[in-house]
Amino acid sequence: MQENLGYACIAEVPCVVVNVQRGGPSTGLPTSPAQGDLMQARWGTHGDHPIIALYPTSVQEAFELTMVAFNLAEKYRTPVIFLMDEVIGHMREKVVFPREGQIPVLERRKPPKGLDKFQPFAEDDGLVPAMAAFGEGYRYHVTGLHHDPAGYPTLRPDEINRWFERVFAKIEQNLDDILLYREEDLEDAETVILSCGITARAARAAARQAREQGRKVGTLTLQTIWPFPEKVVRDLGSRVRRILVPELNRGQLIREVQRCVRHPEVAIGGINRLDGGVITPAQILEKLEERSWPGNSH
Amino acid sequence: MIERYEIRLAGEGGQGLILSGLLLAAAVAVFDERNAVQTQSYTPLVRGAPSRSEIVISDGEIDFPEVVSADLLVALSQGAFQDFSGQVRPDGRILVDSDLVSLEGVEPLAPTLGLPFTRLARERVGKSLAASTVALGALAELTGVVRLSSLEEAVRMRAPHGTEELNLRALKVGAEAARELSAVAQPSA
Repeated sequence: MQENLGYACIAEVPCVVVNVQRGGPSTGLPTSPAQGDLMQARWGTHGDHPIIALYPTSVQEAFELTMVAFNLAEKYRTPVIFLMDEVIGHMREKVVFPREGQIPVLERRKPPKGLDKFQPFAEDDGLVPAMAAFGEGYRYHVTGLHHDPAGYPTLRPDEINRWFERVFAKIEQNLDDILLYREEDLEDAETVILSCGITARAARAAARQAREQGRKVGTLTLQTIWPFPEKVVRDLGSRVRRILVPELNRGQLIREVQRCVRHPEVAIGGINRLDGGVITPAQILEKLEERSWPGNSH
Repeated sequence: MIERYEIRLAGEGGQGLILSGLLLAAAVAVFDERNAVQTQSYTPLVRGAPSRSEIVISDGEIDFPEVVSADLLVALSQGAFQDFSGQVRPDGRILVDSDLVSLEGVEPLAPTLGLPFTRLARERVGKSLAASTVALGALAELTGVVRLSSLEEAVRMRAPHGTEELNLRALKVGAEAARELSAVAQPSA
């Protein structure tokens, strides 16, 4: 899968790849949840490349974000990884479907008909080149090698550099469109639980219970995990005292949080589980009350 | 108004627990118009290994989707009873297959009722595989957390093609048996 994803990256092929994560490595825990592929989604294929990865927390979101995933893939001509947790993959839950016509469907930009010469990777009108479907009248070259605007292999440093700049820019300049996240009770929060997928549902339950006990706890749920919402997390780090990152791995998301938060006085802690079970609200509440956390020492 | 009601259906692979969970969740979410989440846990082995299905029911939003402390445990194997009878609320209820689960030497945390689901399925429905649907019928009758008519609708909508009549009969057999039931064990005070 990873080799082909790399091909989709360099040839700018719009596609959505679903990865319902199971406990690994190898056959591992094939019927149990794990969040071990966060970094694989980012860096699984070789070579530097941008990627979009979305992560639903419910069946409703699995439905809605799948549509978003296809739209982002089409709009930015990029592979989109749809990361899911086994629990959500096998979960049955109420889904409310939109009415016909209320589903936004974005199509890739196509070149005008009848051009003398179609340049499949030219920056004619923005960072995302128009894409002609096979059979629509244009003959062009697609390769996994670095290529020039016409699609033919190139070794020219200026063309290679420009390709990297362009494919990163088309994602980085559209973060407002790509980054999806859900903030709850952050206005006065001293502690934030940052998570994704199934773990976010335990986080929400724990935050609600902590609020009932008078603790100022909020949640940040990432629905887009790649590109990582660096600015959102950096800003969060300048407002809160503690960030808790529960995840079903040895600590993948927490590294990104540590990388983004610039305030050393902010305590960043994790809860990690890898035995096939999910993190429960009780585990999160227990961690929030641990004496070693700042503010808990009384 | 239900804030949160947690049901765990537990037994072994091959007893139809996953399908039962699906039918129960569909009955509640689609036909009773409440919210329901169904999750499942099973092993890579097909038969004989532990299997369970969990359903959380609420009139509000359901955040954490798994059972924390069950309001109702349905145990169709001795192993399931042993593993989960300690994770039931004291004001909850335990329902066991009385032919397959022995309560000897165990003091359940919650009132425990027994019915021979598998025998009823075999003798009165004609297929022992329907045991967990028989249990669903009993569950509806005993708890009122789901309407029997909604379960019937769910069977018509979601049961594997060709098994609808059999599953409808199983629901009826379970509900009837529950009506005739008296408690077989109460927790010691």
